[in-house]
This record gives sequence, C-alpha cells and structure tokens, in this order.
Amino acid sequence: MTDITPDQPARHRDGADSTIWSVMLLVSLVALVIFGLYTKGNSTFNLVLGVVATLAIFSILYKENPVFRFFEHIFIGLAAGYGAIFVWVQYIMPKWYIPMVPATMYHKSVDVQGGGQWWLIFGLLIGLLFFTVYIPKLSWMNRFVLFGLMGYSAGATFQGFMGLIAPQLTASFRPPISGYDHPAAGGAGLNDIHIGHLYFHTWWLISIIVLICTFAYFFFSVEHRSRLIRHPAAAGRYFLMISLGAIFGTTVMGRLSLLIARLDFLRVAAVTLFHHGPK
Amino acid sequence: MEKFLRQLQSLDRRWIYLVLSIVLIITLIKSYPDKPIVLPSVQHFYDAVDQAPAGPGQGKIILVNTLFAAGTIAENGTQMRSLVRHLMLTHKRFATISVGEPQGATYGPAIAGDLAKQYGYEYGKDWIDFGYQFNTLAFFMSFPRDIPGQIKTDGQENKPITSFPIMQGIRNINDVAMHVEITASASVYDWMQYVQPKSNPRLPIGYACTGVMAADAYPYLDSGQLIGMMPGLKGASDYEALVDKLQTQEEAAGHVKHHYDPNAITSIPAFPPPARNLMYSQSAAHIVIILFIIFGNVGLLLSRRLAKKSAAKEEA
Repeated sequence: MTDITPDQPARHRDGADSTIWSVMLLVSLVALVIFGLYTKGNSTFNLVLGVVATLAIFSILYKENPVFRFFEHIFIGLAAGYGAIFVWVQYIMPKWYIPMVPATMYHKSVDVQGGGQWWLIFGLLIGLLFFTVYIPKLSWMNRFVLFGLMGYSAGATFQGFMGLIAPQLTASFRPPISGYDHPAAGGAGLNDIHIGHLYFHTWWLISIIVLICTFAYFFFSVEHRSRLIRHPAAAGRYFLMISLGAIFGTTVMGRLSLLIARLDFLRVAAVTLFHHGPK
Repeated sequence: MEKFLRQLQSLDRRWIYLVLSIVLIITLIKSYPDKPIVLPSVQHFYDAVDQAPAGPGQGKIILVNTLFAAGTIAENGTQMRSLVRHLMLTHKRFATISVGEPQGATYGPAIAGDLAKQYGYEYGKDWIDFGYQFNTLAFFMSFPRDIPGQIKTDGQENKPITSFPIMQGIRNINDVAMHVEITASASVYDWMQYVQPKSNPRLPIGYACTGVMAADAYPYLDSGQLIGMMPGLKGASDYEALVDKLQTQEEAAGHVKHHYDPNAITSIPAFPPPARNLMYSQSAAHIVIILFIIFGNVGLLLSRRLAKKSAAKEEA
C-alpha cells in the first residue's frame, strides 16, 4: 500500500506559520488558562480539556495541521514544566534546600524549620563549575568536575557491566545433556527430554543452532558458495526474520495499547459528560 | 476486478486508521473480559510474589518501582493494579518508589492508596511510599547498602522513614524480598547491574514492561536475572485473570470482606477498565490488522497474476 498522506507537507499548506493561526491559538491558550483558573480545576473542565487535547493530537492522522502542532507544543512544555517543579518540590527542596538553610528559617509551605547544614552549599558550587565552560578564562575549572564524573562513571559502568553480563555468560554455559536431578538443574525444564537418568535440554540445542546460523549469515570473510555456509546462512536469514517479526509484533501490541487507552478515555468522557448509564 | 486490486495496492492509510478506530470503539463500548491462556513468564512472576517472604512477621518488604507516565497507563497502570491487588490479597508488605519518573511517583501511590481503602491496608504499617528519587549512579550505589539512609523521608507525609512500623528491621537490600519494576523505559537494567549483584541471596526481580520492550528481556528471563515478566497489556490481562481467581477463592473462604470494585481507583481520572476487557479490544484490532495484511498480499499476488495473463494475451 502506498503512503499517499504527506508526512512533511509544504508549510504554506497547513497554515502553521500564518499570523492568523498564531494569534487565534495564542488567544485560545490564554482563554483556556483564564477559564482553568476561574473554575479552579473543575473536573468537567479537565475532562473536556482532555477530550479536546486528545482529538487535537489525533488530528495528525488525517493530516498535518496547526492545531496539532499547538497541542504538541503544549504537551512538551507541560511535561517539562511539571517535571521541573516536581523534582524541586519532591526532591531538591526537602533533601537539599531545607536541610541547608539556617535553622532559624521557617518554611510555611511544608511546615518545617531549616536544617542549618550550611556545607551542603558546596554541592551547588561544584555543580556550577560545569557552567564555567562558557567563560573562557575559567573554563579550565570545568575539567575538575568532568574528571571526577567520568572516572566515577567509568568505574561504576564496569561494575555494572559485569553485574549484567556475568550471569548471561554463566547461563550460556549450561550443558546440553545433564544427569542432575531436574529441579536442581536450574532450567525451566518445560521442554527437556528425560531419558533414564539424563536430561536433554532441547532449548539449549535450538539456541545453539540459531546462533550458529545467524552468525553464518553475517560471516562475510568467506564467500557463501560452499553448502556448509550457504545453507546455515539461508536458515539464519529466516531466523532473523522470525525474531524481527516477533519484535515488530510486540511493538504493534504496545502501540495499540496506547491507542486503546486514549479511545477508552474518550468513551469514559462521553459517558460522564452525557450521563448515559454506567462507565 | 483488476482495477479493484490495483486500488487495493494504493489504499490511503487513513482508511485503515478509520476501520481500526471503528473496531476499537465498538469493542470498547461492547467489551467482554478476555479469557487468557496465561504465559509461563507471568505465572512465574505470580508464583514469585506468592512465595516472597514479605508477610506480617516475616521481616521483609516487596519493593515496587513505578516508572510510567500517563502515556502508558493502559499497560503499566493495569499491571500495577493487578500486582497491588495480589499483594493485598496475600497480605504482603510493600513499598512504592519511583526512581526517575515524576509521574510514576504520583500514579504508583495513588493506585496503591485507592486499593488500600478497599482491602483495609494501613499506610506506614502495611505499605509505604518511598517517593521520587533521582536515577543517578549514586542512588544505585548507596541504596542497596543503606535504605533508610538513602530514602530519609517518605513520599506521602514527608516524615522520617524510620518512624513507620513497616520499616522496623529494614536496613539494606537483603531485607527486600522481591523487587518489581513496572516501567515504560529500560530502567530494569540498572537494578540488574548495580543492585542485584549486591544482594545475598540474589534479589528476585519481576519485570512488568510495555509490549515494545518485552522481546529484549527474554535472555534475562532465561538466565534467571528476571524471575518473571508481565509483557504489556497481555501480561496485565494474564496476571489479572490469576488475581481474579485468587479473589474468588478468598471471598469464598471468607478471608475478604468486600467484593472487588473495578472502579476502585478514583484518584486518577478515567483510569483504564480491567486489562482483560482492554485485551478483548486489542485482540479485535490484531484480527483487523491481520486481515488487512492478508487482503493486501492476496491483492498483490492476484494483480501480478492478472498482469502476467494480460501480457501473455498481448504477446499472442
């Protein structure tokens, strides 16, 4: 199916740069803010706003338009603003600012006295050294914090790498046949074949075959003429397609879930606003 | 016929969006709970929560990291709801935390708080909120060694964390029976890299992720670094089916006083309905997509065949 919806249409077509659209949308933003302040976060107003925003974002499915862009920018701005305020209120203020300021200072909003731990100011001063990069005469100071940060990150990343990969390596070295008692063998054992006192781990065998075939597909040092490499490489191509298909399938599932959530929100909003039966 | 098949090859994608939307709206209005075949990874997750020594008197807690925002609430929100119901039905003590996602720090405790009212869970005694934490290396280095030293105050009442009865005996990561990561980002790797190796015995990690992220996690399930996985809406639906079954058993045994109310979560406006109902819509959408794929491919094959035939006629 060909894609005949223009992804990046010419700017003059959607009118996003036109003064009329800019003024109209700016006025509507001011009206929204005033109305929101007037209603003091009324739930019906919030619901209607949610419906309008959802439909505006969905309008991109029809074609690019200034209303979509307007709500897209509002969404990004809101997310950034919310994040900044949240981090200050929930983290920086209670864990750094209030413990740092003098004990005589009372904070009415959170009903606590300051902690008087003045030395916490050094955290801010060290952090500010990052910005010396903008002052050529002082830019050498920036290196101190970068040295510390990079050294610390390198050490921690190495530690983290080992923590993540070492169990993977151990898991890769499971024997294809084991004589251990089944639960003690450590595998899921759902597809293992049990003959006498031996257990044949079928998934191990499958994973090794898939691994070798996929490697063969990407092995370009030898020309793919011999049967020994041509057939495994062909099989490797199919294994790759299967795994990519599985990844694509889960992606579609995830994206559909997002769509379902928004459509269900529209359904609930319609039921709530028009009072037609239970939610 | 040939004209129709040609038109099918150049169908405007907006028609597909329209058909998909209509199908989804109809199935959401007239929805039924899906009856899922539970995935092994979800069953392992459920069993791990069941066996975690975090009951009253067992001295440990389950840590639930909520790293999701409004965008993925259909998947992560329904996963959180099912998990918390399971924890409350099995009387597990737990703590919510959000390492790096401000919205998750709001949603996690909101869901737990609303369900706590229904199941009679008491804040500070049966569950607690560790609030928002920065996702820095420093956090992952110090948290496993000294939990009260890193958290300091709770996220709901801003009181010292050690003043709550649930925190008695909780000092480091060895006092955490299980970690659950409900996430829309690749955050679980930090826990596997920095926290899990510091625990003894190895900290079981349950992974509740969005559908997009599920494929990447299977190697970690095989190696045992993840004890179980709830992949996307399908995972939430499976887990919900298991919890609903447990709820029925507990109600029949008289252990639960109130019947579960699917609309119990009121703190979050228009919170998604049961995951099994959403999965019904998703299954319908999958069928539509598969039909479109078949339709498109059949059209392509037939149009090729017709083109060959017409070419053969012209030659003759």
